[in-house]
Amino acid sequence: MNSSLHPSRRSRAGYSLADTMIAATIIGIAVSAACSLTLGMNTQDEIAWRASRGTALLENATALYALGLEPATVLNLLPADPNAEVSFGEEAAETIEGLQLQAVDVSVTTTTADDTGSWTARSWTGGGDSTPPTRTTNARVYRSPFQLVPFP
Amino acid sequence: MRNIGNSRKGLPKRRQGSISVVALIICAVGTMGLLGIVSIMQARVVQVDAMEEECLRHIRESNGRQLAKDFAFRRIWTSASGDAETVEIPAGWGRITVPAWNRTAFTTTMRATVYNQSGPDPSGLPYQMSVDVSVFSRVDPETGDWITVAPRTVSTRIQSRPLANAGVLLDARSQNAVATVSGNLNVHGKAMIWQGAGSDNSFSFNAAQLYGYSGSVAKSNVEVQDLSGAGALAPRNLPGLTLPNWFAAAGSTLAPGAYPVIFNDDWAPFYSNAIAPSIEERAIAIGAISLAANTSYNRFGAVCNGAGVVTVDLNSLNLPSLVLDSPLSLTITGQTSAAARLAVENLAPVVIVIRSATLPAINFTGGNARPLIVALTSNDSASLTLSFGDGADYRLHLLADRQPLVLNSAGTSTLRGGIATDDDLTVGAGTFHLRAETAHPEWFDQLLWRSFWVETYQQL
Repeated sequence: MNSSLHPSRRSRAGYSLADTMIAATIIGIAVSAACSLTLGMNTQDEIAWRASRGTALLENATALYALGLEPATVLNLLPADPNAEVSFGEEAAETIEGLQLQAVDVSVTTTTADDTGSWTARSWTGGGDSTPPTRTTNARVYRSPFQLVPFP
Repeated sequence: MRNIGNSRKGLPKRRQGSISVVALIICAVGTMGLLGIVSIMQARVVQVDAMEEECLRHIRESNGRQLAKDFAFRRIWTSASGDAETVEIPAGWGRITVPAWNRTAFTTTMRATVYNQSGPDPSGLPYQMSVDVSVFSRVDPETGDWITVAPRTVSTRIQSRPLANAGVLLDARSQNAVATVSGNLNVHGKAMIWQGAGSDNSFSFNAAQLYGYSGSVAKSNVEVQDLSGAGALAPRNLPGLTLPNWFAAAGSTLAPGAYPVIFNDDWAPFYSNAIAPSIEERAIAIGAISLAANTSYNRFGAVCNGAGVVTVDLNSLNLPSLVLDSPLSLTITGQTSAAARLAVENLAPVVIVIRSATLPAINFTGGNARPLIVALTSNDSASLTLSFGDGADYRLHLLADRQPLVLNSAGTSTLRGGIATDDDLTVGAGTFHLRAETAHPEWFDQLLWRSFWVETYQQL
């Protein structure tokens, strides 16, 4: 009679401390993993964004040079980017099988993340340096001296 | 009593199992979500890497197009034929293959079917010779070798137009980089000028529109006003390097802007290829008569007295084209009545080519409705004066090659046609109005010197 009105002590037993600790540990690991993953994702997203922006700058810089603009003018036209730097090498005349073209090296160096490491040979290496990781893409651009030139 | 069927936590075992399944499902869904995010991020990384490769491919293609353009300028339009050739930029930055060609861009009579309007004049269709160039842009990322399958086909179009007949009424270039175009000259159309960075040309006249040549155009000494004389004109175009004159500078002793088109005596590319592009040869090709100064001749309206005095009667229905060598005096007689004008206005164009260092002036009398091209050249710096009467209305295309000109009018004169010059052009007296040939511009197309430009066009 008594047992039917009040569940037995055993049947009323809740989670033990050990259960709780184990569950909390598992949840903690999962949450920290999720946080770490989120951080990694955000960092990777930032890297991808900066790298793609650097690529776009390189493409625009080379296209403007091919159109006939001088390197200094190209640099003035391109939008400023705190994480990417476009630079032109020395412009040179180059003769290729009798054709006479103008050529210049264009490079874009992108600071891909505010962390350490470096991008070399298509893979991330290093880490722990005092300088942030950068990614540099080089191209050699040619143009015929017969390209259109804007009226100043 | 043990409560059979219940867990020790007080829930029925069936219900406890349900919670576990739900928890596992949630975990599975969450894991799939995380995997999805990771996959998306991986795809983004791959895309960024591919974008870089794509960018480099675009640059290789752009380099190839530039190579094709340079090839067209330096080889195709300066030669009547050529063998197929592959040109490759070192280090894999560009590669083109040009097919063999055996046509002459300069004398083609084929019209363009598509026109990008990047040339000096956007109206109508120019003459065109096109060569389809294969542009390669893909390289094997492992070996760096070119992938030659399915290259991009770019149509390199060498287009030409007789500017003096196509809305560009004044085509002023510089033979010696110090040319001057000035005076009461009103161009009721387009004026196109050459002003290189190192030149000291001076342009001071009125025009409806201003266009510019040359790779590096300086604004100094360009004081072209609108037709009312009220304001300076700004150029309307992006000037492109043109065209024969540039090569004249590179291949001979002529200065940038030279216009050696009347006789092909000093322009190696055409002379060596013997493709007869000069105005002189064109005139002879249509039956021109060559007259030296000491020749006695009197037929069909052309009179030469044997002592250098020449008269040309534009009213003569059988007047041939003429090539005059060193005349001392020249009078061109036009029409003085409406009936006379009607009688000659639909005759075939007459070309008068004059090479003289001794001729001081040409007198144009009356008016003229007959199609007429006068081409002038000399090898000295003396000016040649062209005199017109007050109210003269002359249908005239004027080409001047190393020949400074002075236009004199007794009052106000109108020239209907274009002027192409590479030397000084000065209105010494009176006022001149330059208007377009509107009746039959197509009659002049095959005779006038053409200016060239090259454009590359993507074959779709």
